[in-house]
Amino acid sequence: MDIFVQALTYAQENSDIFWKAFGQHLTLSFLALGIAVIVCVPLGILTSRYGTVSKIIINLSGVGRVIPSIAVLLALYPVLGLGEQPALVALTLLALPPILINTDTGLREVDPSTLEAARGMGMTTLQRLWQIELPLALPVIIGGIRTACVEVIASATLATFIGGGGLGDFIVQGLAGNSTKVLLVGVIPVALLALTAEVLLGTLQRLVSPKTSGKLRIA
Amino acid sequence: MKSKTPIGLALSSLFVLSLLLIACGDPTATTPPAATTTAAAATTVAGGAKPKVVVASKDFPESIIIGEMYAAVLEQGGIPVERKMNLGTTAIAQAALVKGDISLYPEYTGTGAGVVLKLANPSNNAKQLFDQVAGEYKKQFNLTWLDVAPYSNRNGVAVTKAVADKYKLKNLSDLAPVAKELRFASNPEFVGDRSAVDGLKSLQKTYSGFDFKEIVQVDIKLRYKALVDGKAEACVAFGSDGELAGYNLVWMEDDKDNFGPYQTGPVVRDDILAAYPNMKSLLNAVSAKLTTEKISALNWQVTGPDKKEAVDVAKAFLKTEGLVK
Repeated sequence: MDIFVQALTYAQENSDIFWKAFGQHLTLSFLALGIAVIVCVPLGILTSRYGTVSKIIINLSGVGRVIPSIAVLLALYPVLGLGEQPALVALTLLALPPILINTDTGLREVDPSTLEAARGMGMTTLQRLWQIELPLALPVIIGGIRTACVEVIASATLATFIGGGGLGDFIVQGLAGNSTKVLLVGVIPVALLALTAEVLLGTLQRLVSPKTSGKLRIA
Repeated sequence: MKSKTPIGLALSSLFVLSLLLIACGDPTATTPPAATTTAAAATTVAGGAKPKVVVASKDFPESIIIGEMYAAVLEQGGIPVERKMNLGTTAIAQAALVKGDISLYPEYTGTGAGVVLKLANPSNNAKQLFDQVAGEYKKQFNLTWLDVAPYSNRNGVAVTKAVADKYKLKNLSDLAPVAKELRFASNPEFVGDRSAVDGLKSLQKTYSGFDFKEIVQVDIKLRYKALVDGKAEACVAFGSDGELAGYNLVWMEDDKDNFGPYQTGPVVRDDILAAYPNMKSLLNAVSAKLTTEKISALNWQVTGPDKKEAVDVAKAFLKTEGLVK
């Protein structure tokens, strides 16, 4: 228990540095997530409509998840230099696949009979997308954002290696200086941030889930 | 996510397969294990009851170069060794040494004092610091510090030539008031927990000032990259860094003697040292040859444009110095 008190004291004594790192971590994470959402939700809508091409795009993005973020970071820094930008690129790449895959899947899983009924009522393609498909797919899409968000918050700790700042600064300080308390100053807030994101987006996901349907409810 | 299509499976397995092929095709990935196998085999043939000698190093070029030198002179002296270079941080190397997974590795007196022993008041005198550190290692861990090299890889600050000329900077006293105009690239240790003993906070206390405009914390190997890329104007420098000369940077003299000494020497397990009586003189011969100029030049061969392998640099040096044939 003592070590947690020491960590807290260290964070308080260095509060200006701590909050700066905390701010950098949040900014980096949410920028990456925001870009990924803006790119992947429209792209997912497109891919859900086309067969073979979509499979290639989806699987290529899935392949991206296999490459560790640290490898992406170190591969990018000779090109983009040091600092926040390469870190942002690596984190965005990490956030793309879950959002793209879930948007695509969510839209594909909308019951064809529901769509048929909507067509029968004379709804246009855009109306069907906006009023039927997207609302029904929303829980799955948010599920993807949730996965991406937790991954990005955890991986943003790697930005420190290339001068991107964030809470990873404390983690490597702790590792390099053989100091558990400094390590915890980085680790604990990251864990709390990830948990908070998980809980908030999980709640949101439940709130937008259709109340009656058993089939579309996504665990 | 749920539907795994045949195309998807094919694509991903193709990708994984190509990764594996690339990994296998890399010559650097396969050579070292082969080398260790031969060394290990030699141990069982020649060693008999004697314990296996495992020479290690930490994860930066200077440590690897010196580790390779230790390994080479021991082999020359008839002691079969296994190599475990590039181990990671001080904490990892020290833990492995105490546990007996490795037998020796090069360490710095300043690091021993700061990171391992966490001494509150390490001496600023090189000889006294060595005695302090070596005494505690013996008492606490049954580890022996053999002779250290004459050079000191002490902490310091370097600036770009342009900045040095612009503000007419020669020493840390000159730099202290100017720092607020500059961005500072630092490795984690220098701004971390021990910063008050041998880092930024101690610098601020001794010189007053050093209130840098921005601190860019980067991996220890990327400090100079930040300067070259124009992300910072000043950076943490170590006395034997090859980049100082290589990138034409200006080392700020420590005119108020703020930073403590960092001399390198082999830290060896007592049981290993007892089993191989000739080990001590073999390793001490290496330390005696290492001056600031020589080690800086060797470092630059690895970190500079030549990009040589640490093991080749170490062997070539030992040949020139007449320590191995």
